[in-house]
Amino acid sequence: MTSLASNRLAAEYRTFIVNRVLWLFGLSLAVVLSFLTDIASGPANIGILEVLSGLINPDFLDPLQRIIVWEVRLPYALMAIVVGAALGLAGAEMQTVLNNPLASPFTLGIGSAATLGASLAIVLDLSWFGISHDYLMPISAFLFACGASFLILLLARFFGANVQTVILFGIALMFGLNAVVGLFQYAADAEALQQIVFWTMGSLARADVSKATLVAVVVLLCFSWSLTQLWSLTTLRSGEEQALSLGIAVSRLRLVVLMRVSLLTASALAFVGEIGFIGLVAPHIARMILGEDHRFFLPGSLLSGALLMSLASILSRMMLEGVIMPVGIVTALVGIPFFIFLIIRRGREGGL
Amino acid sequence: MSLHLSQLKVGYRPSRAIQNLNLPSIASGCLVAVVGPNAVGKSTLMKSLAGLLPYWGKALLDDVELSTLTPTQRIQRLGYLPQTLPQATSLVPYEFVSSALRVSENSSKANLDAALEWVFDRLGIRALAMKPMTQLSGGQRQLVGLAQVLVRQPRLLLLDEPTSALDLHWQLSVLEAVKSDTKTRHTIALMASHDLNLALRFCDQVLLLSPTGALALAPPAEALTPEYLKMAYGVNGRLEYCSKGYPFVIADTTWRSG
Repeated sequence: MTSLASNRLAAEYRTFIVNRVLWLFGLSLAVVLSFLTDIASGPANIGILEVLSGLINPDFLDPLQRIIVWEVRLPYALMAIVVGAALGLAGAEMQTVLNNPLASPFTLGIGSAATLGASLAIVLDLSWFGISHDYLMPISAFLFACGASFLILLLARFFGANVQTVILFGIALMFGLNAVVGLFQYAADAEALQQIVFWTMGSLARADVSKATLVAVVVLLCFSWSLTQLWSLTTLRSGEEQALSLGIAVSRLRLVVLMRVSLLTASALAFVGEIGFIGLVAPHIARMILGEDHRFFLPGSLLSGALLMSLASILSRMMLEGVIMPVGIVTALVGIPFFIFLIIRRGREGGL
Repeated sequence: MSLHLSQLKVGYRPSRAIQNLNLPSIASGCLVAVVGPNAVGKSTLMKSLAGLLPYWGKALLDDVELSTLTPTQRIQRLGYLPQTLPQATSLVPYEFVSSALRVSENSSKANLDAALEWVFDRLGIRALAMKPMTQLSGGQRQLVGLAQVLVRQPRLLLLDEPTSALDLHWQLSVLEAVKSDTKTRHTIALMASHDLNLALRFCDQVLLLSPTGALALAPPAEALTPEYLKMAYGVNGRLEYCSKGYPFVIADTTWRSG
């Protein structure tokens, strides 16, 4: 019966927490394993244990292996992890503040906006104030991603953040932006065209350790920032009016979070090009195993994103012998069926 | 403690929901039912007092103007239950209620835990505490929403249709809980409701709103007279007493003036 010792609920809830901490631990372990496998997989036949010892002590490997592990594969594998983490975190925060399970940087056209920004930089061959092209392209992508986020925010404010409205707007935005990118492609010369097309396919090929570090720093900053708003975000899940009545400045929270989402999305996509569906799928995985207490949901989504992206990177090497497929193609091939599944399930549940 | 509303206007021009509300002071320990026909401004009044919408005029809680409260002061004093039910998410009610405590209070963990135990027992929903909200019915979610408000032990409760999704058992249970809260902690509760008979059973006062303004703030039997029912709802109705002596409202026919 119910009348038992005091704080029984707290004790009961503790088992939830222990479970979730274990899950987070398991996810982290999976990310590490996937990372090592990502480095090990490929024609050079290096084992996972060798990779591990080689990363700890480079002298363990012979010179050729050292170059393969440290120069060729490590940047790839690192980039996959940090980009996945950025997209997973961005997707989770976005779904919470827009109260929309189909929201993600990709489905709402923020990815396309980043592509447009990048194409602009590529075609116009921008280099201002001595800032090199390498950095102007990401900056331009970032600014466009912010623009798209604010458009979505405005729409949500004036027409209500209704699931269908926001998604349809995102799709319209995506088509519109793609058309403009097409225009750029048409006008571009052969080299620029190649760069744009390569961008839209999303590839880890341009990765290097310094870029991966930059994205990692952004992820770390954004994640620490979001830690200060964990309870507000969790409370927002109970409903907007509920959150308002608890003194949460919901509009400001939305604005701050969407800024953070733009920053995460743009910095992730800036170096690897357009990568879809990680930001959509990762939060769903995290929600399924960890629930929506954001203390666990956000890190869980970040880790799921990293894991998915790392697995996609492995898959991209294994699909065709000797060829590394652009990883964006892999995520799309896996992600689209999942997206359709979500839509159908939503439809069955009648709305939301 | 008292709540004093005078010259109160809520809602936006040109057709303000409430034009000019002047009420006698409401004393602590009082459960007030706010009743009236659709679109008369019950919800707008609740939202305005809760600080979600602006109001004009005076709304004094213990001689402090509500609109001058800082967000922190407001959530310490006021508890507002929105009409919309809490969302069906994968949160469990325990998280749902505790997150509300965490954003609004800086108490020790022991105090928070004790408050959570108290509220789940108070509403008798301990059994639901660890089930995901997606698996709860609308009525159960409504109860959890109420727990989110009561757990903070506010001095002024603003409840917008707290029983709209509940079955008979839980309607009574919620009203008993709210009533005992007002009595034991000497708080004030305003409860918007469409259920006149429930209001009659539990409320100390009834605030009857009509499209032309407030008709009465009086004990139930004095507020729900045939004349007032006609003016507020446009029905021919009467107050009857059941075999146990409780009053209840019966609406006979619709009525149109002129």
